Amino acid sequence: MNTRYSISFPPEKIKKPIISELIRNFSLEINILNADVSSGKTGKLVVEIFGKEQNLLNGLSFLNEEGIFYRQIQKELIVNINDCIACGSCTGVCFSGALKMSETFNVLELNSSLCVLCGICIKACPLQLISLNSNGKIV
Amino acid sequence: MKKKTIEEINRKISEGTAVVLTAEEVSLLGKTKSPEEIFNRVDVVTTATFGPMCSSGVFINFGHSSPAIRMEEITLNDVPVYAGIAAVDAYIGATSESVFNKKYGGGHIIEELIAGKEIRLKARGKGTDCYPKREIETSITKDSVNEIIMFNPRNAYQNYPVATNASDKTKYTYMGTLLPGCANANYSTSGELSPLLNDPKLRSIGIGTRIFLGGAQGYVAWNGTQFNTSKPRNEFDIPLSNAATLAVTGNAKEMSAEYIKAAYYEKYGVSLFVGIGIPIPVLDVDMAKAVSIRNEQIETTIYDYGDPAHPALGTTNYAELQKGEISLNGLKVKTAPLSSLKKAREIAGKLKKQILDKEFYLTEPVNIFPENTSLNSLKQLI
Ligand code: SF4
Ligand code: SF4
Repeated sequence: MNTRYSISFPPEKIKKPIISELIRNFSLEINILNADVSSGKTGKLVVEIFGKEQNLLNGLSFLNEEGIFYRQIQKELIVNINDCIACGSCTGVCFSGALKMSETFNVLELNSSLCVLCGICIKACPLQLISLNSNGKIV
Repeated sequence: MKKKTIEEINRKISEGTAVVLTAEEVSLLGKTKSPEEIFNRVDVVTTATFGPMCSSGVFINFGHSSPAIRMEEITLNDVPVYAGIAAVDAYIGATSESVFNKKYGGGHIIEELIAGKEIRLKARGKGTDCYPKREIETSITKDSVNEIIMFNPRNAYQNYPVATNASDKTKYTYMGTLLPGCANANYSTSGELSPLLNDPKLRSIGIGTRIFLGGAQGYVAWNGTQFNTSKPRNEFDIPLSNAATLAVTGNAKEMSAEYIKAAYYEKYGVSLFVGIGIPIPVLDVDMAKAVSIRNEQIETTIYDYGDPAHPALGTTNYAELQKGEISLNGLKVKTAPLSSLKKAREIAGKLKKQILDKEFYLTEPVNIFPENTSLNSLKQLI
Protein backbone atom coordinates (compact mmCIF):
# COMPACT_ATOMS: atom_id res chain seq x y z
CA MET A 1 0.00 0.00 0.00
CA ASN A 2 1.11 3.55 -0.52
CA THR A 3 -0.19 6.65 1.15
CA ARG A 4 0.70 10.30 1.39
CA TYR A 5 1.63 11.92 4.66
CA SER A 6 2.48 15.37 5.76
CA ILE A 7 5.19 15.19 8.43
CA SER A 8 6.06 18.13 10.70
CA PHE A 9 9.36 18.18 12.56
CA PRO A 10 9.69 20.37 15.62
CA PRO A 11 12.85 22.56 15.35
CA GLU A 12 14.87 20.34 17.69
CA LYS A 13 14.24 17.22 15.58
CA ILE A 14 15.21 18.66 12.23
CA LYS A 15 18.75 17.34 12.42
CA LYS A 16 17.69 13.73 13.14
CA PRO A 17 17.87 11.34 10.19
CA ILE A 18 14.25 10.30 10.68
CA ILE A 19 13.52 9.54 7.05
CA SER A 20 16.52 7.31 6.57
CA GLU A 21 15.60 5.44 9.76
CA LEU A 22 12.11 4.90 8.45
CA ILE A 23 13.55 3.50 5.26
CA ARG A 24 16.21 1.38 6.91
CA ASN A 25 14.44 0.02 9.96
CA PHE A 26 10.92 -0.42 8.63
CA SER A 27 11.51 -1.48 5.02
CA LEU A 28 9.52 1.42 3.71
CA GLU A 29 10.11 3.20 0.49
CA ILE A 30 9.71 6.95 0.75
CA ASN A 31 9.26 9.43 -1.99
CA ILE A 32 9.62 13.06 -0.91
CA LEU A 33 7.09 15.13 -2.79
CA ASN A 34 7.65 18.48 -1.17
CA ALA A 35 10.05 19.74 1.49
CA ASP A 36 10.09 22.92 3.49
CA VAL A 37 12.87 22.58 6.02
CA SER A 38 14.95 25.41 7.41
CA SER A 39 16.70 25.22 10.75
CA GLY A 40 15.17 26.96 13.73
CA LYS A 41 11.67 26.48 12.37
CA THR A 42 9.23 23.62 12.11
CA GLY A 43 10.12 21.61 9.05
CA LYS A 44 7.49 20.12 6.81
CA LEU A 45 7.73 17.22 4.41
CA VAL A 46 5.13 15.84 2.10
CA VAL A 47 5.96 12.23 1.39
CA GLU A 48 4.53 9.22 -0.28
CA ILE A 49 5.20 6.01 1.63
CA PHE A 50 5.24 2.60 -0.01
CA GLY A 51 5.43 -0.63 1.94
CA LYS A 52 3.58 -3.42 3.76
CA GLU A 53 0.76 -2.28 5.99
CA GLN A 54 2.34 -3.63 9.18
CA ASN A 55 5.66 -1.94 8.34
CA LEU A 56 3.85 1.30 7.76
CA LEU A 57 2.05 1.06 11.11
CA ASN A 58 5.33 0.31 12.87
CA GLY A 59 6.96 3.25 11.12
CA LEU A 60 4.17 5.54 12.18
CA SER A 61 4.41 4.49 15.81
CA PHE A 62 8.15 5.17 15.62
CA LEU A 63 7.29 8.71 14.51
CA ASN A 64 4.94 8.99 17.48
CA GLU A 65 7.63 7.87 19.89
CA GLU A 66 10.01 10.41 18.43
CA GLY A 67 7.45 13.17 18.96
CA ILE A 68 7.09 13.87 15.29
CA PHE A 69 3.71 14.89 14.04
CA TYR A 70 2.25 13.37 10.95
CA ARG A 71 -1.02 13.53 9.17
CA GLN A 72 -2.34 11.39 6.39
CA ILE A 73 -3.06 13.52 3.39
CA GLN A 74 -6.34 12.97 1.78
CA LYS A 75 -6.05 16.22 -0.05
CA GLU A 76 -6.34 16.05 -3.72
CA LEU A 77 -6.04 18.60 -6.43
CA ILE A 78 -9.42 19.36 -7.94
CA VAL A 79 -9.80 21.04 -11.31
CA ASN A 80 -13.23 22.18 -12.37
CA ILE A 81 -12.85 20.80 -15.88
CA ASN A 82 -16.37 21.80 -16.93
CA ASP A 83 -15.50 25.47 -16.79
CA CYS A 84 -11.93 25.08 -18.05
CA ILE A 85 -11.27 27.06 -21.22
CA ALA A 86 -8.04 25.15 -21.91
CA CYS A 87 -5.97 28.32 -21.83
CA GLY A 88 -2.99 26.42 -20.50
CA SER A 89 -1.77 28.97 -17.92
CA CYS A 90 -1.68 26.41 -15.12
CA THR A 91 0.58 24.05 -17.06
CA GLY A 92 3.46 26.54 -17.13
CA VAL A 93 4.05 26.25 -13.39
CA CYS A 94 3.52 22.51 -13.01
CA PHE A 95 6.93 20.89 -13.10
CA SER A 96 5.80 17.46 -11.95
CA GLY A 97 3.96 16.99 -15.23
CA ALA A 98 0.62 16.48 -13.47
CA LEU A 99 -1.02 19.27 -15.46
CA LYS A 100 -0.41 19.18 -19.19
CA MET A 101 -2.11 20.32 -22.33
CA SER A 102 -3.05 17.56 -24.75
CA GLU A 103 -0.93 17.51 -27.88
CA THR A 104 -3.53 19.51 -29.83
CA PHE A 105 -4.00 21.99 -26.95
CA ASN A 106 -7.70 21.14 -26.91
CA VAL A 107 -7.89 19.75 -23.37
CA LEU A 108 -6.15 20.13 -20.07
CA GLU A 109 -5.02 16.77 -18.77
CA LEU A 110 -4.59 16.14 -15.04
CA ASN A 111 -2.61 13.14 -13.91
CA SER A 112 -3.20 13.18 -10.14
CA SER A 113 -0.64 10.49 -9.44
CA LEU A 114 2.13 12.88 -10.52
CA CYS A 115 0.84 15.79 -8.45
CA VAL A 116 3.10 16.74 -5.53
CA LEU A 117 0.48 19.08 -4.07
CA CYS A 118 2.76 22.10 -4.29
CA GLY A 119 -0.27 24.28 -5.00
CA ILE A 120 1.43 26.72 -7.37
CA CYS A 121 -1.10 26.05 -10.11
CA ILE A 122 -3.96 27.22 -7.88
CA LYS A 123 -2.88 30.83 -8.26
CA ALA A 124 -1.97 30.44 -11.91
CA CYS A 125 -5.51 29.71 -13.13
CA PRO A 126 -7.13 32.99 -14.22
CA LEU A 127 -10.58 31.44 -13.81
CA GLN A 128 -9.79 30.15 -10.32
CA LEU A 129 -10.84 26.63 -11.19
CA ILE A 130 -8.15 24.78 -9.24
CA SER A 131 -8.32 23.96 -5.56
CA LEU A 132 -7.10 21.48 -3.02
CA ASN A 133 -10.01 19.68 -1.45
CA SER A 134 -9.65 20.16 2.24
CA ASN A 135 -11.07 17.10 3.92
CA GLY A 136 -7.59 16.06 4.93
CA LYS A 137 -8.18 14.38 8.28
CA ILE A 138 -5.79 13.96 11.14
CA VAL A 139 -4.94 10.28 11.63
CA MET B 1 -2.10 39.90 -61.06
CA LYS B 2 -5.44 38.09 -60.82
CA LYS B 3 -7.79 39.53 -58.25
CA LYS B 4 -11.06 38.84 -56.48
CA THR B 5 -13.22 41.56 -54.98
CA ILE B 6 -15.18 41.45 -51.74
CA GLU B 7 -18.31 41.86 -53.87
CA GLU B 8 -17.46 38.74 -55.89
CA ILE B 9 -16.73 36.79 -52.72
CA ASN B 10 -20.04 37.88 -51.18
CA ARG B 11 -21.86 36.82 -54.36
CA LYS B 12 -20.27 33.38 -54.02
CA ILE B 13 -21.34 33.26 -50.37
CA SER B 14 -24.94 34.05 -51.33
CA GLU B 15 -24.84 31.47 -54.11
CA GLY B 16 -23.44 28.90 -51.71
CA THR B 17 -20.26 28.38 -53.77
CA ALA B 18 -17.69 30.20 -51.62
CA VAL B 19 -14.80 28.10 -50.36
CA VAL B 20 -14.06 28.93 -46.75
CA LEU B 21 -11.20 27.46 -44.72
CA THR B 22 -9.96 28.17 -41.23
CA ALA B 23 -6.49 29.68 -40.93
CA GLU B 24 -5.17 26.36 -39.62
CA GLU B 25 -6.64 24.47 -42.56
CA VAL B 26 -5.12 26.89 -45.06
CA SER B 27 -1.72 26.76 -43.33
CA LEU B 28 -1.78 23.00 -43.72
CA LEU B 29 -2.78 23.34 -47.37
CA GLY B 30 0.04 25.86 -47.85
CA LYS B 31 2.58 23.12 -47.13
CA THR B 32 1.76 21.41 -50.42
CA LYS B 33 0.04 24.07 -52.54
CA SER B 34 1.45 27.26 -53.98
CA PRO B 35 -0.07 30.66 -53.20
CA GLU B 36 -1.47 30.69 -56.80
CA GLU B 37 -3.30 27.43 -56.19
CA ILE B 38 -4.59 28.66 -52.85
CA PHE B 39 -5.79 31.89 -54.44
CA ASN B 40 -7.64 29.89 -57.12
CA ARG B 41 -9.18 27.52 -54.64
CA VAL B 42 -9.98 29.48 -51.48
CA ASP B 43 -12.15 32.59 -51.08
CA VAL B 44 -12.19 33.26 -47.34
CA VAL B 45 -9.97 32.28 -44.43
CA THR B 46 -11.36 32.51 -40.90
CA THR B 47 -8.95 33.59 -38.15
CA ALA B 48 -9.58 33.82 -34.42
CA THR B 49 -8.21 34.46 -30.99
CA PHE B 50 -9.46 33.98 -27.43
CA GLY B 51 -7.10 35.64 -25.02
CA PRO B 52 -7.07 37.95 -22.04
CA MET B 53 -7.47 41.53 -23.34
CA CYS B 54 -7.34 44.07 -20.54
CA SER B 55 -8.30 47.05 -22.67
CA SER B 56 -11.96 46.05 -22.94
CA GLY B 57 -15.24 47.26 -21.57
CA VAL B 58 -18.88 48.14 -22.22
CA PHE B 59 -20.93 51.30 -22.31
CA ILE B 60 -24.20 50.80 -20.51
CA ASN B 61 -27.34 52.93 -20.26
CA PHE B 62 -29.36 52.02 -17.16
CA GLY B 63 -32.57 53.90 -18.06
CA HIS B 64 -34.07 56.69 -15.93
CA SER B 65 -35.70 56.27 -12.56
CA SER B 66 -38.59 58.44 -11.45
CA PRO B 67 -37.70 60.90 -10.02
CA ALA B 68 -34.50 60.93 -12.07
CA ILE B 69 -30.92 60.87 -10.81
CA ARG B 70 -27.72 62.21 -12.36
CA MET B 71 -25.43 59.31 -11.41
CA GLU B 72 -22.03 60.69 -10.45
CA GLU B 73 -20.63 57.74 -8.51
CA ILE B 74 -21.65 54.25 -9.54
CA THR B 75 -20.82 50.77 -8.35
CA LEU B 76 -22.01 47.48 -9.81
CA ASN B 77 -21.67 44.62 -7.30
CA ASP B 78 -19.29 47.01 -5.48
CA VAL B 79 -17.10 47.50 -8.56
CA PRO B 80 -16.70 51.22 -9.30
CA VAL B 81 -17.50 52.04 -12.92
CA TYR B 82 -16.91 55.22 -14.86
CA ALA B 83 -19.78 57.64 -14.28
CA GLY B 84 -18.46 60.77 -15.95
CA ILE B 85 -20.81 60.55 -18.93
CA ALA B 86 -24.29 62.03 -18.76
CA ALA B 87 -26.90 60.97 -16.19
CA VAL B 88 -27.44 57.23 -16.57
CA ASP B 89 -24.64 56.18 -18.93
CA ALA B 90 -21.52 54.47 -17.62
CA TYR B 91 -18.47 52.63 -18.89
CA ILE B 92 -17.59 49.35 -17.23
CA GLY B 93 -13.88 48.83 -17.74
CA ALA B 94 -12.76 45.21 -17.56
CA THR B 95 -9.92 45.88 -15.11
CA SER B 96 -11.86 47.92 -12.54
CA GLU B 97 -11.72 46.13 -9.17
CA SER B 98 -14.30 45.57 -6.47
CA VAL B 99 -13.75 47.65 -3.36
CA PHE B 100 -13.95 44.51 -1.22
CA ASN B 101 -12.54 41.71 -3.36
CA LYS B 102 -9.54 42.27 -5.58
CA LYS B 103 -10.27 39.07 -7.47
CA TYR B 104 -13.59 40.40 -8.73
CA GLY B 105 -14.05 43.28 -11.10
CA GLY B 106 -15.37 44.82 -14.26
CA GLY B 107 -14.61 41.71 -16.31
CA HIS B 108 -16.87 39.67 -14.04
CA ILE B 109 -19.68 42.24 -14.24
CA ILE B 110 -19.48 42.14 -18.05
CA GLU B 111 -19.48 38.34 -18.16
CA GLU B 112 -22.37 38.11 -15.67
CA LEU B 113 -24.45 40.71 -17.51
CA ILE B 114 -23.96 38.82 -20.76
CA ALA B 115 -24.89 35.56 -19.01
CA GLY B 116 -28.19 37.19 -17.95
CA LYS B 117 -27.37 37.46 -14.25
CA GLU B 118 -28.70 40.13 -11.92
CA ILE B 119 -26.26 42.83 -10.83
CA ARG B 120 -26.63 45.22 -7.87
CA LEU B 121 -26.44 48.87 -8.88
CA LYS B 122 -25.71 51.63 -6.36
CA ALA B 123 -25.40 55.23 -7.48
CA ARG B 124 -25.18 58.70 -5.99
CA GLY B 125 -25.50 62.18 -7.37
CA LYS B 126 -25.49 65.62 -5.84
CA GLY B 127 -29.09 66.28 -6.91
CA THR B 128 -29.90 68.97 -9.46
CA ASP B 129 -33.06 70.82 -10.45
CA CYS B 130 -33.55 68.46 -13.38
CA TYR B 131 -32.25 65.34 -11.57
CA PRO B 132 -33.45 65.73 -7.97
CA LYS B 133 -32.81 62.15 -6.79
CA ARG B 134 -29.55 61.71 -4.90
CA GLU B 135 -29.21 58.04 -4.29
CA ILE B 136 -30.45 54.82 -5.79
CA GLU B 137 -29.96 51.16 -5.03
CA THR B 138 -31.49 48.60 -7.34
CA SER B 139 -30.72 45.60 -9.45
CA ILE B 140 -30.26 45.37 -13.20
CA THR B 141 -30.03 42.67 -15.86
CA LYS B 142 -29.22 42.88 -19.53
CA ASP B 143 -32.95 42.97 -20.24
CA SER B 144 -33.72 45.75 -17.80
CA VAL B 145 -31.16 48.24 -19.17
CA ASN B 146 -31.33 50.05 -22.50
CA GLU B 147 -28.05 49.36 -24.27
CA ILE B 148 -24.87 47.46 -23.45
CA ILE B 149 -22.41 48.37 -26.17
CA MET B 150 -19.04 46.70 -26.02
CA PHE B 151 -16.23 49.04 -26.96
CA ASN B 152 -12.75 47.63 -26.50
CA PRO B 153 -10.04 50.22 -27.18
CA ARG B 154 -7.23 47.71 -27.70
CA ASN B 155 -7.82 44.08 -28.68
CA ALA B 156 -6.39 41.42 -30.96
CA TYR B 157 -2.75 42.43 -30.67
CA GLN B 158 -0.74 41.55 -33.77
CA ASN B 159 1.81 39.27 -32.14
CA TYR B 160 2.86 39.56 -28.51
CA PRO B 161 6.21 38.99 -26.83
CA VAL B 162 6.90 35.91 -24.74
CA ALA B 163 7.33 36.63 -21.04
CA THR B 164 9.91 35.02 -18.81
CA ASN B 165 11.56 36.03 -15.54
CA ALA B 166 15.33 36.05 -15.07
CA SER B 167 15.15 37.52 -11.57
CA ASP B 168 15.31 35.45 -8.39
CA LYS B 169 11.71 36.08 -7.28
CA THR B 170 8.42 34.79 -8.64
CA LYS B 171 6.67 37.52 -10.64
CA TYR B 172 2.90 37.60 -10.84
CA THR B 173 2.07 39.42 -14.05
CA TYR B 174 -0.63 39.90 -16.65
CA MET B 175 1.43 37.29 -18.51
CA GLY B 176 0.69 34.83 -15.72
CA THR B 177 2.89 33.39 -12.98
CA LEU B 178 6.57 33.65 -13.97
CA LEU B 179 8.88 31.58 -11.81
CA PRO B 180 12.40 32.78 -11.01
CA GLY B 181 15.49 31.87 -13.00
CA CYS B 182 13.61 31.68 -16.32
CA ALA B 183 11.97 28.45 -15.14
CA ASN B 184 9.00 29.09 -17.40
CA ALA B 185 7.87 31.34 -20.24
CA ASN B 186 4.32 32.29 -21.20
CA TYR B 187 3.03 33.36 -24.60
CA SER B 188 -0.27 34.74 -25.68
CA THR B 189 -1.38 34.61 -29.26
CA SER B 190 -3.04 31.90 -31.27
CA GLY B 191 -0.12 31.82 -33.75
CA GLU B 192 -1.15 30.89 -37.28
CA LEU B 193 -4.82 31.29 -36.29
CA SER B 194 -4.36 34.84 -35.02
CA PRO B 195 -6.25 37.49 -37.03
CA LEU B 196 -3.65 40.20 -37.59
CA LEU B 197 -0.88 37.68 -38.31
CA ASN B 198 -2.83 36.46 -41.35
CA ASP B 199 -3.09 39.91 -42.88
CA PRO B 200 0.11 41.43 -41.56
CA LYS B 201 -0.12 44.59 -43.64
CA LEU B 202 -3.80 45.06 -42.73
CA ARG B 203 -4.93 45.21 -46.33
CA SER B 204 -8.37 43.77 -45.72
CA ILE B 205 -9.01 44.85 -42.12
CA GLY B 206 -9.89 48.49 -41.47
CA ILE B 207 -12.56 50.73 -40.06
CA GLY B 208 -15.97 49.10 -40.47
CA THR B 209 -14.77 45.52 -40.94
CA ARG B 210 -17.43 43.10 -39.72
CA ILE B 211 -16.08 40.58 -37.23
CA PHE B 212 -17.14 37.87 -34.77
CA LEU B 213 -17.04 39.52 -31.36
CA GLY B 214 -17.91 37.59 -28.23
CA GLY B 215 -20.40 35.40 -30.08
CA ALA B 216 -22.18 38.24 -31.89
CA GLN B 217 -21.43 40.15 -35.08
CA GLY B 218 -19.39 43.20 -34.22
CA TYR B 219 -17.24 45.68 -36.07
CA VAL B 220 -13.78 47.12 -36.11
CA ALA B 221 -14.37 50.70 -34.95
CA TRP B 222 -10.92 52.17 -35.36
CA ASN B 223 -7.30 51.21 -35.09
CA GLY B 224 -6.66 50.10 -31.53
CA THR B 225 -4.71 52.19 -29.03
CA GLN B 226 -0.90 51.73 -29.03
CA PHE B 227 -1.23 50.90 -32.75
CA ASN B 228 2.33 50.56 -33.95
CA THR B 229 3.34 49.82 -37.53
CA SER B 230 7.04 50.46 -37.13
CA LYS B 231 8.12 47.26 -35.35
CA PRO B 232 10.82 45.31 -37.22
CA ARG B 233 9.38 42.54 -39.42
CA ASN B 234 10.73 39.21 -40.62
CA GLU B 235 10.77 38.00 -44.24
CA PHE B 236 7.09 36.99 -43.95
CA ASP B 237 6.07 40.54 -42.94
CA ILE B 238 5.45 39.40 -39.36
CA PRO B 239 6.30 42.08 -36.77
CA LEU B 240 8.61 40.56 -34.17
CA SER B 241 6.70 41.82 -31.14
CA ASN B 242 3.43 43.59 -30.31
CA ALA B 243 2.47 45.85 -33.21
CA ALA B 244 -1.00 46.62 -34.62
CA THR B 245 -4.17 46.48 -32.51
CA LEU B 246 -7.91 46.86 -33.09
CA ALA B 247 -10.61 48.90 -31.39
CA VAL B 248 -13.74 46.78 -31.69
CA THR B 249 -17.39 47.29 -30.92
CA GLY B 250 -20.59 45.26 -30.81
CA ASN B 251 -23.89 44.69 -29.05
CA ALA B 252 -23.03 42.94 -25.78
CA LYS B 253 -26.67 41.93 -25.28
CA GLU B 254 -26.27 39.55 -28.23
CA MET B 255 -22.98 38.09 -26.99
CA SER B 256 -22.46 34.82 -25.18
CA ALA B 257 -20.58 34.19 -21.95
CA GLU B 258 -18.95 31.30 -23.80
CA TYR B 259 -16.85 33.84 -25.65
CA ILE B 260 -16.51 36.58 -23.03
CA LYS B 261 -14.92 35.38 -19.79
CA ALA B 262 -13.60 37.22 -16.79
CA ALA B 263 -10.09 36.45 -15.64
CA TYR B 264 -8.07 37.21 -12.53
CA TYR B 265 -4.30 37.12 -12.64
CA GLU B 266 -2.74 36.65 -9.23
CA LYS B 267 -1.40 39.92 -7.77
CA TYR B 268 -2.06 41.68 -11.07
CA GLY B 269 -5.80 42.01 -11.25
CA VAL B 270 -8.89 41.45 -13.30
CA SER B 271 -8.96 41.10 -17.06
CA LEU B 272 -11.31 39.74 -19.71
CA PHE B 273 -10.97 36.93 -22.21
CA VAL B 274 -12.46 38.19 -25.46
CA GLY B 275 -13.29 35.93 -28.39
CA ILE B 276 -12.63 37.55 -31.75
CA GLY B 277 -12.92 36.04 -35.20
CA ILE B 278 -12.04 37.85 -38.42
CA PRO B 279 -12.65 36.58 -41.95
CA ILE B 280 -9.83 37.38 -44.37
CA PRO B 281 -10.76 37.55 -48.06
CA VAL B 282 -8.22 35.91 -50.36
CA LEU B 283 -8.13 38.90 -52.71
CA ASP B 284 -4.97 38.03 -54.64
CA VAL B 285 -1.91 35.80 -54.59
CA ASP B 286 -0.19 37.99 -52.00
CA MET B 287 -3.11 37.52 -49.62
CA ALA B 288 -3.05 33.79 -50.35
CA LYS B 289 0.57 33.78 -49.31
CA ALA B 290 -0.15 35.81 -46.18
CA VAL B 291 -2.94 33.50 -44.95
CA SER B 292 -0.77 30.43 -45.51
CA ILE B 293 1.61 31.57 -42.77
CA ARG B 294 2.66 28.75 -40.44
CA ASN B 295 3.63 28.73 -36.77
CA GLU B 296 7.32 28.17 -37.52
CA GLN B 297 7.33 31.36 -39.63
CA ILE B 298 5.80 33.50 -36.91
CA GLU B 299 8.63 34.73 -34.76
CA THR B 300 8.36 36.70 -31.56
CA THR B 301 10.65 38.26 -28.98
CA ILE B 302 11.26 36.92 -25.46
CA TYR B 303 11.18 39.62 -22.78
CA ASP B 304 12.42 39.46 -19.21
CA TYR B 305 9.58 40.54 -16.93
CA GLY B 306 11.91 40.14 -13.97
CA ASP B 307 13.47 43.47 -14.93
CA PRO B 308 11.19 46.53 -14.96
CA ALA B 309 12.68 47.59 -18.31
CA HIS B 310 11.63 44.26 -19.87
CA PRO B 311 14.84 43.72 -21.86
CA ALA B 312 14.71 41.35 -24.83
CA LEU B 313 16.47 38.03 -24.17
CA GLY B 314 16.07 36.40 -27.57
CA THR B 315 13.57 35.33 -30.20
CA THR B 316 11.60 32.17 -30.84
CA ASN B 317 8.64 31.07 -32.97
CA TYR B 318 5.21 29.62 -32.32
CA ALA B 319 6.09 26.11 -33.50
CA GLU B 320 8.78 26.01 -30.80
CA LEU B 321 6.53 27.61 -28.19
CA GLN B 322 3.80 25.06 -28.84
CA LYS B 323 6.23 22.20 -28.34
CA GLY B 324 6.28 23.11 -24.65
CA GLU B 325 9.95 24.01 -24.36
CA ILE B 326 12.21 26.64 -25.89
CA SER B 327 15.90 27.08 -25.57
CA LEU B 328 17.02 30.42 -24.26
CA ASN B 329 20.74 31.09 -24.32
CA GLY B 330 21.40 27.39 -23.83
CA LEU B 331 18.79 27.06 -21.06
CA LYS B 332 15.73 24.86 -21.56
CA VAL B 333 12.64 26.85 -20.63
CA LYS B 334 9.16 25.35 -20.17
CA THR B 335 6.48 27.21 -22.13
CA ALA B 336 2.74 27.61 -21.63
CA PRO B 337 0.06 29.54 -23.49
CA LEU B 338 -2.25 32.11 -21.90
CA SER B 339 -4.77 32.33 -24.69
CA SER B 340 -6.94 29.35 -25.50
CA LEU B 341 -6.19 27.68 -28.80
CA LYS B 342 -9.17 25.44 -28.25
CA LYS B 343 -11.54 28.39 -28.06
CA ALA B 344 -9.84 30.16 -30.97
CA ARG B 345 -10.38 27.04 -33.08
CA GLU B 346 -13.99 26.90 -32.00
CA ILE B 347 -14.48 30.53 -33.08
CA ALA B 348 -12.71 30.08 -36.44
CA GLY B 349 -14.89 27.02 -37.07
CA LYS B 350 -18.05 28.83 -36.05
CA LEU B 351 -17.28 31.80 -38.25
CA LYS B 352 -16.58 29.47 -41.17
CA LYS B 353 -19.96 27.83 -40.65
CA GLN B 354 -21.74 31.19 -40.40
CA ILE B 355 -20.23 32.25 -43.73
CA LEU B 356 -21.14 28.95 -45.38
CA ASP B 357 -24.66 29.27 -43.93
CA LYS B 358 -24.94 32.78 -45.45
CA GLU B 359 -25.29 34.37 -42.03
CA PHE B 360 -22.09 36.36 -42.25
CA TYR B 361 -20.98 38.47 -45.22
CA LEU B 362 -17.65 40.18 -45.67
CA THR B 363 -17.20 43.94 -45.68
CA GLU B 364 -14.95 46.33 -47.52
CA PRO B 365 -13.22 48.58 -44.93
CA VAL B 366 -14.70 52.09 -44.89
CA ASN B 367 -11.21 53.37 -44.31
CA ILE B 368 -7.79 51.83 -43.92
CA PHE B 369 -5.54 52.35 -40.90
CA PRO B 370 -2.67 54.81 -40.64
CA GLU B 371 0.54 53.46 -42.08
CA ASN B 372 3.48 54.99 -40.29
CA THR B 373 2.77 55.00 -36.62
CA SER B 374 5.02 54.55 -33.65
CA LEU B 375 4.48 55.01 -29.92
CA ASN B 376 4.98 57.97 -27.64
CA SER B 377 6.01 57.35 -24.08
CA LEU B 378 4.99 59.29 -21.02
CA LYS B 379 7.34 62.00 -19.75
CA GLN B 380 7.80 62.25 -16.00
CA LEU B 381 8.11 65.61 -14.28
CA ILE B 382 9.25 64.32 -10.91
S1 SF4 C 1 -0.20 21.23 -7.13
FE1 SF4 C 1 -0.51 21.89 -9.24
S2 SF4 C 1 1.48 22.65 -9.90
FE2 SF4 C 1 1.84 21.45 -8.06
S3 SF4 C 1 2.30 19.40 -8.86
FE3 SF4 C 1 0.12 19.42 -8.43
S4 SF4 C 1 -0.80 19.96 -10.37
FE4 SF4 C 1 1.36 20.50 -10.55
S1 SF4 D 1 -5.47 27.76 -16.09
FE1 SF4 D 1 -7.55 27.23 -15.48
S2 SF4 D 1 -8.80 27.59 -17.32
FE2 SF4 D 1 -6.66 27.58 -17.97
S3 SF4 D 1 -6.27 25.44 -18.58
FE3 SF4 D 1 -5.68 25.57 -16.43
S4 SF4 D 1 -7.55 25.00 -15.29
FE4 SF4 D 1 -8.18 25.44 -17.39
